[in-house]
Amino acid sequence: MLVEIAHFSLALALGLSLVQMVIPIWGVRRNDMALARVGEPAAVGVFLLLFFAFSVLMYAYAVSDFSVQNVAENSHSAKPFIYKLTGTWGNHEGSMVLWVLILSLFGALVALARKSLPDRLRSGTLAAQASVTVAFLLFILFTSNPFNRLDPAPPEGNDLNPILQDLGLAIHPPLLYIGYVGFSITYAFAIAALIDGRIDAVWARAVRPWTLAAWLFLTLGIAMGSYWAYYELGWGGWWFWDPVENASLMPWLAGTALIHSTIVMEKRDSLKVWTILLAILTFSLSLLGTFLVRSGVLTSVHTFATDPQRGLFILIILMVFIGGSLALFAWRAPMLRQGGLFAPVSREGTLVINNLFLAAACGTVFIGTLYPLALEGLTGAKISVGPPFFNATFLPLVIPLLLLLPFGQSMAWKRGDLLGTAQRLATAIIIGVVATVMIFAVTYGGPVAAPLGIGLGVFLIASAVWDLGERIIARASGFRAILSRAAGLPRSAYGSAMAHAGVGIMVIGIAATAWATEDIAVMKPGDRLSRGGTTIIMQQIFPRTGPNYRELVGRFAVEVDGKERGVIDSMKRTFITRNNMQTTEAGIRSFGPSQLYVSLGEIQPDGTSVGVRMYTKPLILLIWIGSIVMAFGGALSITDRRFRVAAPAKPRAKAGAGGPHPQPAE
Amino acid sequence: MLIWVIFAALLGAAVLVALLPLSRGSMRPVMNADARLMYEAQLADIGQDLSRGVISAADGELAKAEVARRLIRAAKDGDVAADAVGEATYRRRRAASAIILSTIPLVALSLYAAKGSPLLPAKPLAARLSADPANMDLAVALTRVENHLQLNPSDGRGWEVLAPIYLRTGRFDDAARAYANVAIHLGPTMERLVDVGEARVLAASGVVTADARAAFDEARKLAPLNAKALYYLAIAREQDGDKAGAVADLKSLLASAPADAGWKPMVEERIATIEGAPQVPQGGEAIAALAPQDRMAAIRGMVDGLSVRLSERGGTAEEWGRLVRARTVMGERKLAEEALAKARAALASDAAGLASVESVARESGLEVRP
Repeated sequence: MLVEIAHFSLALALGLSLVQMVIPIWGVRRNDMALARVGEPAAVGVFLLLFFAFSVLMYAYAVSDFSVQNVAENSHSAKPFIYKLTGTWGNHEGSMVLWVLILSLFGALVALARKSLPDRLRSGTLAAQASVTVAFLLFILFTSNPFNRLDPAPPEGNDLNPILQDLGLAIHPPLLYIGYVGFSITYAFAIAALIDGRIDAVWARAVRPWTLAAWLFLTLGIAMGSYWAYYELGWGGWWFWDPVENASLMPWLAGTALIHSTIVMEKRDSLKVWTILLAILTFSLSLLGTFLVRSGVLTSVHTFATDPQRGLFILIILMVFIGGSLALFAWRAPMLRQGGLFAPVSREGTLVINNLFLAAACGTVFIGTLYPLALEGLTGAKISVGPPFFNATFLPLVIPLLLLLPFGQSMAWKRGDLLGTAQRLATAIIIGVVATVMIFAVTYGGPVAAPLGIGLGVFLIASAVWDLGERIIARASGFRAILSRAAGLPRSAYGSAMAHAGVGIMVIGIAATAWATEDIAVMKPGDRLSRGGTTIIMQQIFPRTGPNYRELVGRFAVEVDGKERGVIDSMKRTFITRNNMQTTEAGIRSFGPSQLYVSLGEIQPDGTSVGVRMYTKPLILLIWIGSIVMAFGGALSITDRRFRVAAPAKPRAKAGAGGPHPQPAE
Repeated sequence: MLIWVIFAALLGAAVLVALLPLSRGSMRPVMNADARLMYEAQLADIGQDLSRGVISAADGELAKAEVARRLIRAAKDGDVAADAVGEATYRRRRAASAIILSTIPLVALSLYAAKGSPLLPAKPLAARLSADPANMDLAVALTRVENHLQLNPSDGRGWEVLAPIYLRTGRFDDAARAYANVAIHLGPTMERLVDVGEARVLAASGVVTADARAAFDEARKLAPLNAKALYYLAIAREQDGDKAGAVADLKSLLASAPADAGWKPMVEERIATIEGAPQVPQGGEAIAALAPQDRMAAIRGMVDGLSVRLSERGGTAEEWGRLVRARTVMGERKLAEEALAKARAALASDAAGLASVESVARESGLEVRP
C-alpha cells in the first residue's frame, strides 16, 4: 500500500506544482501578494510529497519488493544492503525521481528563505522553478514511472550493473545532482527577473549563495565521479574527455563564470544582461547533460536504458526551456536598465576576462562534445574527438586564465593598477619561478610540462596566501591589530583565497601526472615487478566468494626503496547475478598524496599466471584534494556575513507552510 | 478502503495548503529589508580598501557616493503601490481558489487512476519467505537456494535440498544435474547415483537412456542396487525387446519386496502392461514406419489392449481418459461411450478422477449426462 500512496503522492505533486507555476505569476503581474504567496506553501508541499515518494521507493529497494517493476529490474536479494539503498538512484527511473526531489528541495528552500529575497522575486522564482518540476514530473509519470507494479511478482530481481555496486554510487550522483539541479534555481531567478523586468545588485546578492551552493556540489560531484572512474575502471585514468564527463564539465565552467559575474553585478551594478544570460545557459547546459545521458544518444555506464520515447520527451523539455528562456531573454533583456561602464584594468575588468575565457573554454568543450554527435546524426560518419582535440583547444584557454587569476584576485575595484598589482604579486611570482627551476633541475631529462605546471600551481597557492596575508597585515601595527583585521575580513575573502589555492593544488596534481608510470607484465606467484624504487612481489592468486560475486584475488607485497610497505589485494570479480559480468577492483595504496595502483588483467591459459598492470601515480590525490579545497572555499563564502543575515526565517515560514506530511499507517 | 481514506487526506491537505495564503488580507510587496544591509556592507568594504591603501582617498569617496545613489534607487524601485482590496481582488481570488480546487484533484486522481494499482499488495521479500509454509512463495525460496549454490557450487547439502524440488516441479534436467552435484560433493553412494539415473530417465520422458544406465552401473559398483534401480533396469530390458526377461526381473523384484512397499502396485501394473500389450511393434517410431493400413491396425490393437486391460483389471482415471479420447479420435463413437460408461462404474468411488474423465469426454465431443 505504501508504494501506491507514493505513486499517488507523485501525481499529487504534479497537481500542486501546476498551481505553484500558475498562481504566483498571476499574483505578481496583478500586484496581489496573497496570490503570489501561494507558491511558498505549495513549494514546501511538493517537496514533502516527493520526499515521501522517494523514501518509499528506497524502502521498496531495502525490502526487495519485486512487485515494483523498478526494483525487480535493478535489484537483487543477494546484493549487499548498502547497494540495495544506493541502487534506488542507480537506474533511470529512480535517478529521475531523485532529480525532481532535489529540484523541489531547492524550491522549498527558496520558499522558506523569506528574509533574503524580495517578495516579488521569490514568487516569480518559485513559479519558474515549478515549471521545471512540472515538466520532469510529466516525464516521470508518462515515460519513466518508478512505481509500475508487476503481478505476479518475480521471485528474483535482475540486479544492478556491477560497476555501480560501489560506494561511489552512494556519493557521486547525489552530489552531482545537487549541483546540476541547483543551477535550476539561478535559472528560475533569471526568468523571474526577466518576467518582472527588474534586476539590480539585490538580485545578484540574492542569487549568489544559491549559485555558490550549486557550484560547490557540482565541483564535489565531478571530482567524486572522476575518482570513482579512476579506481573502478582499472586503467588508472581520471579524466577521459568522455561526452558524459564533458556534459558535467560544461555547466561547471558556465557556473564558475556565473559566480564571478554575480560578484561584479553585486559590487558594481553592471554586467546584468550577461549574468542573466549565463544563469540561463548554465542550467540549459545541465539540461543538455541530462538529455545526453538519459536519451540514449550516448552509450555509457550512465545510460541505464535506451528508449527513444524518453529521448524525444527530454528533447522537447530541452527545447521548451532553453528556447523559451532565450526567447524571453531576447524580448525582455533590452528593457533592463544597463549598468555603468568600467575601466579595463580593474577587478571587474579582470572578472570580465575570466568570464570570456571560461565561456570560450565551455564553448570548445561544447563543440568537441556535440560536433561528433551532430555529424553522426546528419551524415552517419563516426568521428572520435578525444584528448588531442581538448589538449589543443581547452588548455590554451585555461592556462592564460590561471596565469591571470592572481592578478584579478588582488586588483582593486573600479580602478586598478597593473604595475602596483604586479609588485604586490612579486613574491608569489618569484616563489613560482623558483619552484619550477628547482623541480626542473632535480628531474632533468623528464617531461618539461610537469615542472612548468607545478610552478603554475605553486604560484596560484602562493598568491592566494600572499593576498590574504597582505589584506590582514598591511599597514597594521601590532599583533592585536592584525588579529582584529583577520577577524574583520569577510569570510568571502577567505573563501575565494581558499578556492583559488584549491585550483593551484589541483593544477599541481594534474601536472604531476606527466611523471606517472605504467608497467605491464605477466606474473605468477613469486615474480617481482619494479619501477623506480617501487617493487611489487606477487604472493599468491586465490579465489574468494562475496555476497553476489566470486572473485580472483592477486595478493602483492609492496616494497619501497627496499623496505616492506604492506600488501595490496587486486581483484577481478565475476558477478553471477548479472550474466557473469566482470569488474576490476584495483588494488591501491597511498603514500602521502601519491599512489601505487595495481590491477589484474587476463588469467593466462596456464592458469597460474595473470596479466598485471602496475601504475605509479605521483601526487595524484592532489587533483581531488584540490577540488575539495575549492568546494570548501565555496562553502566558506556562503557563510559570509552578507548572506548570513539572509538566513531562512524558519519558524515563521513553517507556520504558513504546514504542507501535507504523509504518515500513512500500514 | 484505508488507502482511499489516505488518498483523500493527502489530497485535502495539498488543496488546503495551496488555499491558505488566499485567506489572508491584502499584502503589499515590500522592498527587501536587507538591501540596506547589503549596501552598508559595501560601504564597509570600501572603508577597508581605503585603510589598506588599495584605492586612493578620492576614489574611495566616489565609490561611496555611487553606493549611496544605488541605495536610494533600490528603495524607490521597491516602493510599489499596494493594490486596494476591492471587488476585482475578490473576484481574482475566487478564480484562483477555483483553479486550485479543480486542478489538484483532477490531475492527481486522473493520472493515478491511469497508472496506479491501488489494490495490489506489497510483496517484500521477507514476507514471501516467511516461516509459515502456507504463505511461503516456493519460487522465491527456490531462487534463494539457487543464488546460494551459484556462489557456492561445492555445497553438496544445498544441492541435496534443491534436487527433489526440481524433480517435483518437473525440471528433470536440472534435477539430474543437482543429484550429480550431490554425488560429487558429498561423495557417491549407491542411492545418490540411482537418483541421478532416475532423474535422467525422467528427463528422457521415461526412456532409460545410455546415460541413465551408466549411472545405475556406477551405483551397482558401490552396493547392491535398490528396488528403484532394479525397476528401471527391467524397463531397460523391455526397451531392448526382452519382454520375458523384463517381466521376470520385475516379478523377482516383487517377490523380494517388503509387504508394505508402496511401489508394489506400480510394478504390478507395469508387468500387466508388458504382458497385456498386443504383439505389435512397440513405440511410436515403429508404428510410424508401417504402411498406413497396417498403422491403423497397429494403433487399434494397442487401444483394444488398453480397453481389455482396463475392463479386466481397472486402471487410473488418466488411463480411462486416454481410452475415451483414443476411441473418439478413431471415430468409434459408440465404443467411446461404452468406455465412458465403464469408467463411471470403475471410478464410482473417485469423484475427482471421474470428473477428469468426463471433461476429457466433453472435450472429445461426447455428450456427458450427469
